[in-house]
Amino acid sequence: MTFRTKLLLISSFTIAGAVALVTGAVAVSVRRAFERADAERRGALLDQFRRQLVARGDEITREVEQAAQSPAVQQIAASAAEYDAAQAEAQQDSLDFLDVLQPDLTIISSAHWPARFGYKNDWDIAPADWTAEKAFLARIPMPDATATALVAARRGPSGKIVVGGRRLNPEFLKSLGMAPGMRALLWLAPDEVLDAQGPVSDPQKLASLMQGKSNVVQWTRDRASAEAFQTLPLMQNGKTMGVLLAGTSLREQIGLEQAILWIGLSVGGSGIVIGVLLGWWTTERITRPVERLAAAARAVEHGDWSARAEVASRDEIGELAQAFNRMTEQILEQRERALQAERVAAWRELARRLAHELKNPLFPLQITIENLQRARERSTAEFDEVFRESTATLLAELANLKTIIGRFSDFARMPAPHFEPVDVNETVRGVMKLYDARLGAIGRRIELENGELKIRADGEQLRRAIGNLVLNAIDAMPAGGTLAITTARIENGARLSVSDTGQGLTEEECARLFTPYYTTKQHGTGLGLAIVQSVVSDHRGKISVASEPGRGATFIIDLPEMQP
Amino acid sequence: MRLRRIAAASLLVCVIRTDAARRPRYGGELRIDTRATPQDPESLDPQIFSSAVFETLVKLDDHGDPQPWLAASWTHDKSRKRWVFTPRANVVLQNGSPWSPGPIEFADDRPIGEILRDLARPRNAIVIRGPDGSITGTGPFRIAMWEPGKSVTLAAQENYWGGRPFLDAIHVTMGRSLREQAIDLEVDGADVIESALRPRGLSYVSPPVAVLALEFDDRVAPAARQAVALSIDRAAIYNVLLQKNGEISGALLPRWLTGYSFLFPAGRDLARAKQLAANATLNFSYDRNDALMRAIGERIAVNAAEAGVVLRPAARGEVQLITLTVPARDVRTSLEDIAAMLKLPLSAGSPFEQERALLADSRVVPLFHLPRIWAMNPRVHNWPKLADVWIETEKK
Amino acid sequence: MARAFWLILFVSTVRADALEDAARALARSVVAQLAPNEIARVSVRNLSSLARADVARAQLAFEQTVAKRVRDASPIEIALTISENIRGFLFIADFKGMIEMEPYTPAVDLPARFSMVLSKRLLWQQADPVLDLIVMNDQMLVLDISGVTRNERREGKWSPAESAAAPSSVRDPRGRLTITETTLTADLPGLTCHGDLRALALNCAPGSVFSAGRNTFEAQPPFFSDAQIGNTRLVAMPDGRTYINDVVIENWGSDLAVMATCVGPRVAVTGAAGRDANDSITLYDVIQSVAIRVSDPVQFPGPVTALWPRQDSALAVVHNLTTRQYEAYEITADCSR
Repeated sequence: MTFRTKLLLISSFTIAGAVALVTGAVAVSVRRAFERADAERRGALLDQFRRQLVARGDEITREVEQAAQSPAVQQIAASAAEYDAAQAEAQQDSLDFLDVLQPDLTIISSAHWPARFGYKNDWDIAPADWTAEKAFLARIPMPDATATALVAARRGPSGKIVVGGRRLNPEFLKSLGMAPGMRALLWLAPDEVLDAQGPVSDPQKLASLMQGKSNVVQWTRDRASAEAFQTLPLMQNGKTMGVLLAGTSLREQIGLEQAILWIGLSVGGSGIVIGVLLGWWTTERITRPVERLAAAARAVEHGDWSARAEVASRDEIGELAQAFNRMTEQILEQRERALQAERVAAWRELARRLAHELKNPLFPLQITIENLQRARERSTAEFDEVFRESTATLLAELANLKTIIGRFSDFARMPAPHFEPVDVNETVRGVMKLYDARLGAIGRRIELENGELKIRADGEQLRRAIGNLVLNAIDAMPAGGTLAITTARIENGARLSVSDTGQGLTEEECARLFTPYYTTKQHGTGLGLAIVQSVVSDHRGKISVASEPGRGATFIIDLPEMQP
Repeated sequence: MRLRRIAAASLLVCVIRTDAARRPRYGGELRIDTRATPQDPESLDPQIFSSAVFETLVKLDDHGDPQPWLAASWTHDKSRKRWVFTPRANVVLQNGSPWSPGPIEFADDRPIGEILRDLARPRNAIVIRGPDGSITGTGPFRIAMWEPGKSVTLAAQENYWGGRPFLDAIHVTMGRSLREQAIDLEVDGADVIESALRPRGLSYVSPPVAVLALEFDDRVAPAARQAVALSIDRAAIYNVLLQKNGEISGALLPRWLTGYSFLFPAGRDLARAKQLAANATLNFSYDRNDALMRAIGERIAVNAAEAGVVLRPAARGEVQLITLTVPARDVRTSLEDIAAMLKLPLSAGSPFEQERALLADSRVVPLFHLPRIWAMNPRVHNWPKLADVWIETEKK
Repeated sequence: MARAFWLILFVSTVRADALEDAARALARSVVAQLAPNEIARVSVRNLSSLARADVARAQLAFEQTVAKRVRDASPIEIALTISENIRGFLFIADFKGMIEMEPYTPAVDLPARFSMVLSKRLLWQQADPVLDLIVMNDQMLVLDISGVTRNERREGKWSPAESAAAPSSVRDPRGRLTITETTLTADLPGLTCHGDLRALALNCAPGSVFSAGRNTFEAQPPFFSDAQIGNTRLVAMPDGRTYINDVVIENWGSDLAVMATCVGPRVAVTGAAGRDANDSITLYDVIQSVAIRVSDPVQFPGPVTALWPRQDSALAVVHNLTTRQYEAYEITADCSR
């Protein structure tokens, strides 16, 4: 994560956090206020209902008393065609139910179920309630359902009992005055719930309310459809006949809460946006120079010693850039000097080597020519023989010199590599074939990568490099041993390793190994590894050596697959 | 001496009864209201209109014996398999042409009693269909105007072989509910109306010819059928709802026809009904537009509920409250026709055995035999024999 | 008279036999279903209109037939029910879960006695409607819907001698007979037939005092019946009223006939009874268009279908509602009343 990103995140979180806190606080106090007001209103509605119930009950009691005293009811005989007479009387008194009974509760006439004449009255009425003064609630079986009604019972002068009443229905609820957003529900059964307009759809949504689990009912997926209820159970003789529910719609409250939320979100959102923009601008001024500095450092790392950091300001960042630049220059100078010294050292080494190499053939040359001078002074016959021997020796040593010079010349004139697809495994096999005889008793362990190991390389140079390594390995095992060559595919290239089981190299030797003319051998020009290194370098590869004294040495060459 | 006696005529005229001392008056139009809405003339209520328009070769008298009607006499060959019916003379079709088909021959190896009963059935009435689709009969009234399902006007046939009827015309208004009919009679919009119960004023109560019964689908288990049958308290329904019109019965045919209807049980056995009930629930249909049928249907549902069978009101139910009309004054004819109406097979044997077999598995449970009741204006005489009906003129 | 008595007895006996025969036949079919050691214990129930005496007779006949003497008897309850249907009576035995039935149709009763009323005398009765009837010594001419029949009285009994056809097929038919020494005239609706008394033969021609196809006299306007007392004419009209000049009488029947009595002509009037009820004839006097009753009504067992004046009597034809027969009565007025 960049510094800028971190900064932006921090500022965003800060703003968002602050806004959320404020929004939450406001929402909570709004909700509390609403809940208080709603609870008061619901309570008032329930009180009103209680009063209405009593008033209705009185009305019904009066009407039943009237019916009990009326001559029409008195004359309803227990037989003949009067089994449906109660219907007319009930209609007249606007009662939903009216049963005229014998003293033993046998039905003479029933208004809502005329077919039950002759049967005993089956309303759910406790014995004490038959003589109750006031109206009471009762459940009344009907042909296809059970109704809950407010009923009263009276005895007429002829001994007949008249019991009648009105069903608890939406009309009852309509008479309650309610503020907007409020409504009254009458719960009579889990599947029979009424409001002022009629049966409520989805009465089962009230189940958790009736079980006392919560006092809020959400009718649809829309949260605003929720209602909060307060209940008033309607009891009769210890049984619950129904429940009145006073409800207040939470629509306003939820609407307000949602508005608060939206405002909070939009404020927070815009705050974040502004914060991001500001932060962007601010950090721009900080991170840009830092990036430029980082870019310069990367360039240097990749070898571009001319890379400099821009010094755009006089603050800490500017000072940092300046310091970087100074440091880079110093390193460059030091490197130059080191390179110089290295070059001088290499030259010295080369000169020494050259001197050493040349010295050998030159000494015999001198001797030979001195011999010749001495022989001239002796007899001609001796001089001819010596002349013949000496010229032969001269020629041989000259040839030797030529060879030495030729080698140096070769090294100096190593040609530019010509890249083409080369199979490293095949090259190794070729080299091994070539030096197979030279290996003699030395063991061979060849482990090549499966298949082809193709890289872009100069095949000839590669062969020469591998060959040199093999020769070195042979030279390092004069008493025999094992030569191991492995190839492997590495990321973006190939790895070749040649190892021997000779006497190994010390650390110092490892370090100086690739210096031209550094050799541990008694003979040889010491150019072999330098050539290898040159080839590897031309191929933009890497060469390293791993060794411990007495344990042999392993040369590892990494070559890239592609060449630019 | 010319002796020409038409034996049938004497018996025919036997049933003509003139009024006490008032001579019947020729003329006038009789206005009848009915609930039914027949769609073609052959579906007119046979109890009143049979033989008014279309007549049969043979007619059953008051004792249920076949008497010559359009056929004056019949003979058979030696093998009693070929019959020749001689048509009555002087019969004129309603379209004016004489009916003279000549001797009617056919082969039939049934006993003559059965053949005659069959010929007496209204569906075997003589109906002449014209090429233009018109229909003509031989009866004392012809169809002057027909509006299917709405009304029909019958006009007197001047040259009817049994003597022109007293009335000039009969106008039947169809599809009137009982309430509407009662109002019609009160405001003098009709002379004869149907009534469910005995009305005040002039009325004609037929012998019990309608069977009120429960019909069960064969989907209903036999135990459930019996449970319902045994749970019904017929006495309460008879005393209160029917006001003692008709009679309680467990038989299909009424006592005045068979004499043995009391042999079929019609009692209530609630304990046994509860055992058989096994909490069955059935769909129960009855005519909701008829106040009396609805009251009886509801009462039956209450009775059945006591036994543990729930009868739910439905438009088409596995249990139906039906009214069957006894079609003829003959036991075998009535049993055959009722079995056909109920789509039940009729076994062989005596009528009692046949009826017992029909009722054996409680597919049909007869409840009551009800009379047909008509209330009428006091000016109407001799109802329901339409050919003999006459009405007094208006008193000024 | 004695003959009538024996006839009655004979008829009664015949009746009882048919009843007991039916009971015995049923008993026999019951016995056939009983095991040898089973004896019957009979209980009887009457659900019909059969008289108590007849029920007892049937029960006796049944019990006598099922009775048997058996050792180690095992009694079987037999419920004998006497029921009724349109054809007659039905004896039903219900026993051991089985049912046996036997029908019993009583023959049509002849009247047990002649009705003798002071002022009515039955002359003739028959099944077909009688339109008019004239008795001359031992000859009786009966005009009915099939024609004219001459009956002769032999040994106190009338029997048909010859007849001539003059069919009338009118609902509520009317007809009138008039005779001379040798001829007779039958007036029928739309038809007048003349014939010879000696050899009964009728020649009918269209045209009559009676309207064709109707039950009224052909006149303008048509009427049912009329009578003349002095200058006063009484007319019974189809509207159910009787008019004496301008005076309207609402409660008389449709038939009038003038009778000569010892105190002068009086008019015999049928009653304005309701439907299916028995009728009566009452004598009235008419003074200045006012009708005054002068006798108690004489009752009949059915409606009067024809009333014709004779010299000092009247002929009334009554349709007996019980027997369904048409009875012709001579109505005479006895002055001592």
